[in-house]
Amino acid sequence: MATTEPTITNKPTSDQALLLRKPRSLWSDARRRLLSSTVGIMGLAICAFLFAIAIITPIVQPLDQTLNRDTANKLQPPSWLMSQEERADAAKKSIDKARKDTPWGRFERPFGTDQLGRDIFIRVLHGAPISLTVGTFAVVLAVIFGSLLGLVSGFFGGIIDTITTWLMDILLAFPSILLAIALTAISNNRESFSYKFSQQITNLPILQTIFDPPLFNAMLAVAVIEVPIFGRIARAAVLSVRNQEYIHAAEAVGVSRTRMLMRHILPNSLTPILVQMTLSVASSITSVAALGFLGLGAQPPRPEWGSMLSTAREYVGTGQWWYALFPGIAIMLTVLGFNLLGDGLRDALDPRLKH
Amino acid sequence: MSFRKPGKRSIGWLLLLVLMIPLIAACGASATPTATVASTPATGGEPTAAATTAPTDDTAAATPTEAAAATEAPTAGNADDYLVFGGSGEPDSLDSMDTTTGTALIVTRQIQESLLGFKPGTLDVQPELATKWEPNADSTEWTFTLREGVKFSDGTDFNADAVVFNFQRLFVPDFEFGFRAEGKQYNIVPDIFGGYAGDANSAFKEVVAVDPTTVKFVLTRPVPLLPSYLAASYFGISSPEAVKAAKEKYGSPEVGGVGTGPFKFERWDAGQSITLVRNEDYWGDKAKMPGVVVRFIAEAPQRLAELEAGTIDFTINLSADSRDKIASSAELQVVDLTPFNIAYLSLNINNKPFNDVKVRQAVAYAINKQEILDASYGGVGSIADDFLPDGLSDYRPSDLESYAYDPDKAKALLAEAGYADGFSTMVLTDGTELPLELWYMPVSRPYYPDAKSVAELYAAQLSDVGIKVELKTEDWGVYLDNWDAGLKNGMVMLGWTGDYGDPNNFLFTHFGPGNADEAGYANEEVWKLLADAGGATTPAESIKLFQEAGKLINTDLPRIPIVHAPPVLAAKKSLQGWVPNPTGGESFAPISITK
Amino acid sequence: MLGYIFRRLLGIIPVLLGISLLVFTLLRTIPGDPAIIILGERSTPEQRAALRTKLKLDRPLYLNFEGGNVFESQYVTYITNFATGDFGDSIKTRQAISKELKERFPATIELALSALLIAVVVGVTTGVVSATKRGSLLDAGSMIVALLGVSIPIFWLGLMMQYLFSVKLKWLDPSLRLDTSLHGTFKPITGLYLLDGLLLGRFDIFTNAFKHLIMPSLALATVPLASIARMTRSAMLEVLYQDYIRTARAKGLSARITILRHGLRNALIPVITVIGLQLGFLLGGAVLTETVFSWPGIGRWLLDGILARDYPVVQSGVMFVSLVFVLINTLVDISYRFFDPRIQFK
Repeated sequence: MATTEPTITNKPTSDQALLLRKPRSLWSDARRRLLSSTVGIMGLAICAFLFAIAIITPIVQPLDQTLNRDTANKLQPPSWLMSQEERADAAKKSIDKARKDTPWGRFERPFGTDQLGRDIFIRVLHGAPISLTVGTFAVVLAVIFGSLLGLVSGFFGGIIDTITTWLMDILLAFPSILLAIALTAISNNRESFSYKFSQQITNLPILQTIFDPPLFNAMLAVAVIEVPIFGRIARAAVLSVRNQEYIHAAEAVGVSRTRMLMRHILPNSLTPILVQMTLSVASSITSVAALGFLGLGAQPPRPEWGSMLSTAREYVGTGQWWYALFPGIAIMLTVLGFNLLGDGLRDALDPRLKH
Repeated sequence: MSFRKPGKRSIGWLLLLVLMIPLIAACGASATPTATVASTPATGGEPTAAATTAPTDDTAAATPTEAAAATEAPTAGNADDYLVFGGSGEPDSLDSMDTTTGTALIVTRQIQESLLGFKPGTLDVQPELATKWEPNADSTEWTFTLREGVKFSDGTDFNADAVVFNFQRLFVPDFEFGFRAEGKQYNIVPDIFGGYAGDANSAFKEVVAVDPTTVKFVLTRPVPLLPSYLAASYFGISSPEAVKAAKEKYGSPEVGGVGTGPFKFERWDAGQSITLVRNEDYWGDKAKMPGVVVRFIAEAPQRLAELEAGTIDFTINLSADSRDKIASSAELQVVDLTPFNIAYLSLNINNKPFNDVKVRQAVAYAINKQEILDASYGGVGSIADDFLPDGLSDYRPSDLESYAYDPDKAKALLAEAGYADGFSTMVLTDGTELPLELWYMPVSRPYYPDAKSVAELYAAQLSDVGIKVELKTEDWGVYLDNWDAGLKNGMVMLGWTGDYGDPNNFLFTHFGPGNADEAGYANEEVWKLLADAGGATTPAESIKLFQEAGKLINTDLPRIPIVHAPPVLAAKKSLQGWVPNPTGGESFAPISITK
Repeated sequence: MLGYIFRRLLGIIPVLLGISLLVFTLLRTIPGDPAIIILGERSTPEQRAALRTKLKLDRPLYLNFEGGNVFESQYVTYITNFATGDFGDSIKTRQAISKELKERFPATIELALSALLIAVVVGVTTGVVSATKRGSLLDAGSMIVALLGVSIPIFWLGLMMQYLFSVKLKWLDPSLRLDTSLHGTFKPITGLYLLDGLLLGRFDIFTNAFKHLIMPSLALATVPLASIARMTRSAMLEVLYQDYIRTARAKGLSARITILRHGLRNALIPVITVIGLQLGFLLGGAVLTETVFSWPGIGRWLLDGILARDYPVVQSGVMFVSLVFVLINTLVDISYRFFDPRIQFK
């Protein structure tokens, strides 16, 4: 929601009473509507919950790949499904010899363990910052490039418009996930520009905990497939306001083209872009997870949900359902959260769509 | 009224739209209206079999083009009676000489026979297409007497000319029917013989037909073990006519392979299965079952699931975890096989810091082989101190350094080498510094049934001593190509299953001159010792030389031996007669199952 | 009107040219010499040179400015070969790509069509029922399920269905299109096994194919189904408040007839658009579904081709899929204009 702030009117809005008396601005009106719709509230709550997990988990328990394994207790079912004896037995076998005599608690391994005896619960929690960052990054990149393309194309028209529209049509002419797969697979080698770039970026200490080069590379591909979507929205928005009177007025008083683009047209195309951004975060998260599932995204041992599912897949046939169940629920919940928030925002920002 | 119209039309258009899509599909598909059963077994005579043909021609009278094939296999039996084998992947080719992967060789072994074979379950050589063989005094010339009256399944004769044709194809770079310029590669030759005919290191000189039933191999140096080599699945003999007709497409799904074996190629459904049918004119004991379907199921757990579901009859390379599960099942049995393989971790010596032997040794000390054996092999198998499996333990040096798990020693060695805090990058020969890579295989093999999990364990164990790796993988074919080309940097997981009972099949193939490119290890002293050991005339001398070479390898440590793992094979209890061979290639002919 | 269709079809050409340029350029950025990939590391330079000449890889990339015919370039060779149906041979299997396409494309079509059928039938029904029973428990319930449906990762849903129906309950087959014992017992007519089973009177094939098809097509149908259900509901709601519906009710027509004859017909227009949009999803989602269910279709084939650096497969396969995709989208677009007379043919 940070992107909305610069456009909030410059009147003081902190005072609740003031807000009620004054004619409401689009944004405060939207906020009110968002908070009064069940869908919006639910979406907001889920997203807030996930962001909280994403921020808190690495602080409370930094992921240590080396310690978090217990091969003697591999592929154990969720501990609340184990009997008292089984939990005592698991504690005895554990590499943590200090715990030998204290049986596992009922919620010791609430999601069970994976093929190396790692706690799936912890790994799923650690997947949250990865997926959220990946989804947000991809969409931010797509918005920047997409709306720039769309704005320029819609504003200047002519040959620029023809070429950009053509480019966007080409990108949209592929089934999107197939395009992402092709881009990722083709660029997933040391010599490719995007992989080199990914390696540079993932050398940064902050990003190292989130990304590995293949994951960043996959995210770039997902960003590319989202670009034309924002391009089209931005272009349509420009075209719709271009001929309105206030633009002609601005033109008449000699406002420069760039200034006009930035001050008048851009803010007016924000509403649909904002809605699409939220929905795109959802689809980007699914796409990156799908790439991980196909082995093209994050590499083990990074606890990315899609790549966890790719390993878990091998254990579905042998009956270890919990390994695949929980990372999948995590993806679904995240995607659901952003979809709900997107729906809520659309209803809130575009009153015409309300029934 | 305008709102009515679109409604009525819309349904129609929706239907039209839906109907258009199959049209697009159909324009690609075959449009033959009457379906005939291709040449096949489905005409077994049981009432149900009749239903497999189109109602219009219930006698399954084949179309003229298929008549020839149909007469060849009069009563092959019902497809329901076929043996179903769960293979661990799709073969790359059914040209036995042009493939080196186990998934393909287990199929070619059924179709193309070699001059010699192995006694069931052992590495002892026995007659197959040759009945007798003898060397000259110094083993530089070998004469083979061929079995008479054998025909390829396409009806052409098997004779000395056919044998010469096959080996010329394999060894002679400009042989007319080698189709090398079209993509045939014959990669196994340099690994076993040191090079193609005419190469400086090649042991092969020529092969000549002395008379229709006698061929002579002429070599450039003594090769006492030639019979063992020729018993390997790579040297299956194909019908020259079939090769000439199919050109470079010989072995591809369209064509398959043609040999003298107990089964013949029937069909290859891309991505799904290969069907073989019994060769009714086989010279030896005919196959018990009317056919074999080899299904491609890459994932080990899925093979187990299919075995449990009864959709396959027997399979290989299951994960170690499944051993107990199978043993306790009422319908399934574990089929035992002693390990004849090695799983290893190769370190690319061209990359800094692996050029330093102390770093290589530190890596070996950092790896807890027992933890890996317990976690990914169900604790069954043996920790490897050396490349040679137990079957060849006579040739192992007696005073091997085992590099038993010792993280403190690993850290001390790293500190000595100047990496007290460990390292996370590698420097290539051209000076580029990259994150340290550890490559894991995308497939399950007997030696690494669960490569990804082992890779994660390596990563964890190495990180305990400060070595941080980035795990990587790629398509299996590309993985092997890049490995052969020396393009794999950092650490690479690979393994080997022996093809015949010869230490050089493990040592020369990994530490000989043909492998210097792969990961930069080139020790000419080792090369010489191995070559001399291979040509030694007395067993005692051979053992001594192999042990000397083994000791050098053990110290240089370019590849770290990890485990010798018994493959987990399983079958339905009702399946009988399966005697797996340690080399991973055995005939399915004696196998029977009651369905 | 015919002129309009003609113009639309003509409009495909620049897009296809763009796609071909993109595919061609992307493939040329992959490191590695195709000649070495085909012939192996141990091939001689002469063999490689001969192959390059044969495959015309020695020509300039896009256009020939080195003298001679300007169009003697790799790119022009690629598009002319594609246009004339010469797709080349796969490096990996050495088979003609046209043959592999012929085998695999029907599998994907069968999967996508049955998914579409499920999505449309169930989706539209759910949407209509929800709209007419607006605010009821049924409405709320189905809309919650639809919301979950659009958010579900289909590959995960596929895994879970496999566990439940194959591993646990053992009702359905986890992979492939048919039991292996039925392979090769018939000669496919359309390549759609359900249809073939019916056409050949082979009910064993029909039922077996059905058992194999049901899980993958359900998994693939989920997202489109949910979208269609949601769109149908809101379109129906919009329509049901229109004057002519009130008029129809006032005339004394039964609720049922009003909804079906007047409501649904008009609500279908936006629904058709959604269906059109979902076709792309079906083709793309097929890659994931085919991976999960070892379905021998075109998606998995393309993915394997990309991973194995099988240039000819990628080059022709991606082009082919895009062609189909663009064609279908254009057809949907054209037919959409037929549905809605308010849209003028410009």
